[in-house]
Amino acid sequence: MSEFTDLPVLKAPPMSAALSAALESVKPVSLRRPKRDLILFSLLSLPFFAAIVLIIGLRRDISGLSPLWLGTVGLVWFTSFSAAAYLGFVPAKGHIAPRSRSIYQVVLASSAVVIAIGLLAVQEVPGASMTYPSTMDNLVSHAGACARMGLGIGIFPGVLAILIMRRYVPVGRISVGLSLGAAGGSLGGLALMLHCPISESLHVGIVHGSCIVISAFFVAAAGQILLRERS
Amino acid sequence: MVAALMTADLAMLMKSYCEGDRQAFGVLYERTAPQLLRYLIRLSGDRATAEDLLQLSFLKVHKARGSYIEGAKPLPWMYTIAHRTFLDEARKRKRARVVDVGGDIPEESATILGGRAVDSATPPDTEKLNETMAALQSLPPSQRQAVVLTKLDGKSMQEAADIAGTTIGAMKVRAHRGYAALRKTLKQSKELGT
Repeated sequence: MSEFTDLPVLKAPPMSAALSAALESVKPVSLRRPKRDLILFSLLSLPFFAAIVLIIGLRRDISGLSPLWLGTVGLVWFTSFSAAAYLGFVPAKGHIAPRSRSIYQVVLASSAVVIAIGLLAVQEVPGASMTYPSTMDNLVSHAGACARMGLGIGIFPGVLAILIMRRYVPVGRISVGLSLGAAGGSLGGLALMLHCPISESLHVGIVHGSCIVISAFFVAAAGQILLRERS
Repeated sequence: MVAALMTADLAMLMKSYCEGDRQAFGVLYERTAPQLLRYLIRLSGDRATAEDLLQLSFLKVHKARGSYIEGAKPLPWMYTIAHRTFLDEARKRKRARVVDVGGDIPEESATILGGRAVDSATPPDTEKLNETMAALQSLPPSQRQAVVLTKLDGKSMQEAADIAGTTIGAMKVRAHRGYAALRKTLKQSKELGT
């Protein structure tokens, strides 16, 4: 191996014509300020979420649910939103590229946690909550409305976040999209938790819980287009 | 002004360049292009390809300069862009493993370990060098990147992990496996040669 470390030293080659031409018109650009972008995103997406919840209304059994359960599950969804949004906007200190590995871990972990909570810790208020036998047919027949609503609510903040960031991201586009989509999906899932009175575990776990992953994939796909090089 | 640029660190140069200072880009290019070119030669195994990739990488840096964050270290980001450019182009050209390096080794001679140009009295053994280059190309891309960064470019595990977007632990494993595979390949080729 020693001979390989004794490779000849290299000089910087001359800049190509394309690079020189690009530099002819170099203009000042505003630098990215990740924390400002994160605050802007929060200031736009959280009022949007609150307005949507007001419009679609709270679940009819909400007064009968345990405040501790409501607070804990709500906090889980909100933590998922905060962590995903933070990682999507703010790289590690001193770095520019996103923390892809942490993003994948957070998206997977938060999805797993909300799905597990839905499957294992659903609360029911007799006479007020809607429930039915846990069968695949019932799961499919009740999934449509919640899936559309959760995805609709989730994608909007995700795409909004991409638009706030709207710069050319040469590395880490997929992880940024996944992260910001997961943030939006968390708000979608939280909205469903506050609106949907169904307390059947498969519905809550799979339909509500999958908001994070589905929204993450949609926004990652949008990010591939919106964050790519613009000619 | 130029003297100040010559002594400025890379983060300062990047900031000045983002503020529209073309000279700052020139200095940044002079300071970083040799390291990136060396990295790309080791990844692609071909000087001409590496020079093309270098220019593409700097074009990407130029177009993405708005995503720079004040105070951040530009070099790991530039390495990541160069690596991504290499992978994209390798896929496009469907020839990720280029082994023909004959005649592409520059004539200037010096050691590059540690990243600074130092004169060397003995020129490298081109045959051995080409064998090693070929062996390097036989490694999976992640192991090749780990070996190039940690064993050949002299980057710390932390720096290499930052560039590759992975953890220090994973980088250690990749570097160890890559280095072991490289030694095995070189040993086999030596045995076949004797």
